[in-house]
Amino acid sequence: MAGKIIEAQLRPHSGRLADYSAGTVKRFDVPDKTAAMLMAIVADCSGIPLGELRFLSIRDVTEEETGK
Amino acid sequence: MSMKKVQFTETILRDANQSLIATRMPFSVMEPILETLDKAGFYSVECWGGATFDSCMRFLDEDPWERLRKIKAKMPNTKLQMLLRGQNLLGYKHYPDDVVRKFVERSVSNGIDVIRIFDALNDLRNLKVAVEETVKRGAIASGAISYTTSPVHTLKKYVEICREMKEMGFETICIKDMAGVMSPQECYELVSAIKDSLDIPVVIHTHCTTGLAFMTLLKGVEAGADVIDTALSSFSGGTSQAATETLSYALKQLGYEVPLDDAVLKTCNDHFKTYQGECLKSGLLKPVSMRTDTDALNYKVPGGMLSNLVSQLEQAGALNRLDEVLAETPVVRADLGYPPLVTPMSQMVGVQAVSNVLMGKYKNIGKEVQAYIRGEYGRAPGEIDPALMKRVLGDEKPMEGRYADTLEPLFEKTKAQLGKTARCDEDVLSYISFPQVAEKFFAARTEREENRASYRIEAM
Repeated sequence: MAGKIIEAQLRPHSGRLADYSAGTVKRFDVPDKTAAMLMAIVADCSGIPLGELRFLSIRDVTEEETGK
Repeated sequence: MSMKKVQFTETILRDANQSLIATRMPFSVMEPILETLDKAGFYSVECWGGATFDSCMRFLDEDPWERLRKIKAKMPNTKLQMLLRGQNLLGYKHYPDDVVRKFVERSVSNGIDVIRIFDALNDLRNLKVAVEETVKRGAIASGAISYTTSPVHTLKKYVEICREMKEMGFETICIKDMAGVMSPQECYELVSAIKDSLDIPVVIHTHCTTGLAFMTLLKGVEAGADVIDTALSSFSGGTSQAATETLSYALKQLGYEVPLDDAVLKTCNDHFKTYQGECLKSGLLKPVSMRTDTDALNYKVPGGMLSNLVSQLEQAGALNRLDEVLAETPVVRADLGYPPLVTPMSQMVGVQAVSNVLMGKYKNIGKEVQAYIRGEYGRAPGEIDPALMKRVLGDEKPMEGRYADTLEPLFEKTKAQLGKTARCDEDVLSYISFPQVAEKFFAARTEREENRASYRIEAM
């Protein structure tokens, strides 16, 4: 089954943490809504404070790439 | 007796677009009407080259090569035409021969059928490589004369140029009056002189700027011109060409065979009329560009050059010396051997005339003027004033050969330099033509393809 790969980065802590995560994300074959949902799920499940989380890219991966 | 056939080159996609709205018409405006335009019966549609290339990348975020391919796909029955500045391609500097050849080859491969080639000085050596390659690639080479009047630009001289052009492989001759200053009488005499001496189709290109165009085209047709450049009426007049529908109507009534379908022309013009309204509303199309301005006839300098002189003097706080500058301009032009007053010569002559008036006669000689005197732009039409030449060159001799002969091949080197940034040969040519603009365009293209989106996630 094809899956999604999300590339994220932790932003180094610098003083006061923002209570949001913001930036630009590259989307490869991933529609807007799917990207937004995936980022929200990752942010919620990862337990990483939003101010430390930054998304770089989201890419649709094939079965071959996932090794299944 | 059979009627004389007069054919039309439609300029709305290139020169009319360039002259009236600074070449800002996007492909999205053209696209819906191209298939209809293809049925109108034009000899050719000028749609590419000139400033369209730079404008596509710089302002419209369009790949000019892709635009050409898309136009070709929608207009398979009409010859697509481009304007090429000989060895300068689409800019003002000389490029090495390998780049000129590659540019012509790719232009034809991507859909161009007619290449109109000219040189600001009418130095035919600067057209040689482009015409050779055009013919080799199976396209029609049209040799354009940069039209001007001077003691050295005689009818005999023009006919000589045309004869040489024919020998070089040009299939048609275009009289290119970019300033709109060619009078009906001058046009009649020139077309007659060419037609009397040579068996070659003649095309007339002029602008409405001074109000002469309709009369000039008519007299040209009477003298035997085969093709005229016109623009659909919503983008005609002023600094653009004379209206296609008007000339079609008048020439048909006069008994000429005009292979244009008036109903199709109307459909096409209705489409562009809507866009004209939008351009007027947004300010892109300025009413001043659509007016008749006879100053160019009075001062004997093209309209664009006159406004440049005024603005230079304004900046120097010396607008009161305009009359002196206008008197000095023909003197500088004569000193420089009567170059036609087209870009870049009009700027050079204008700046030098301003400098001569404000700072003293040739106290300061511009870098470009010095390069021109050294022969780097090509051969001057007449003799350059020997004293001025001595002053610039000293004991040095002016360049005898072509400036391009001094240039190293550039295409493969640039291609290697660009690496993956250039995805095809067309990209390399875009970069060589306009490096900074192309670089930005490539970066924007990559970004668009990567499909970047801004996001912000906040805790609930």
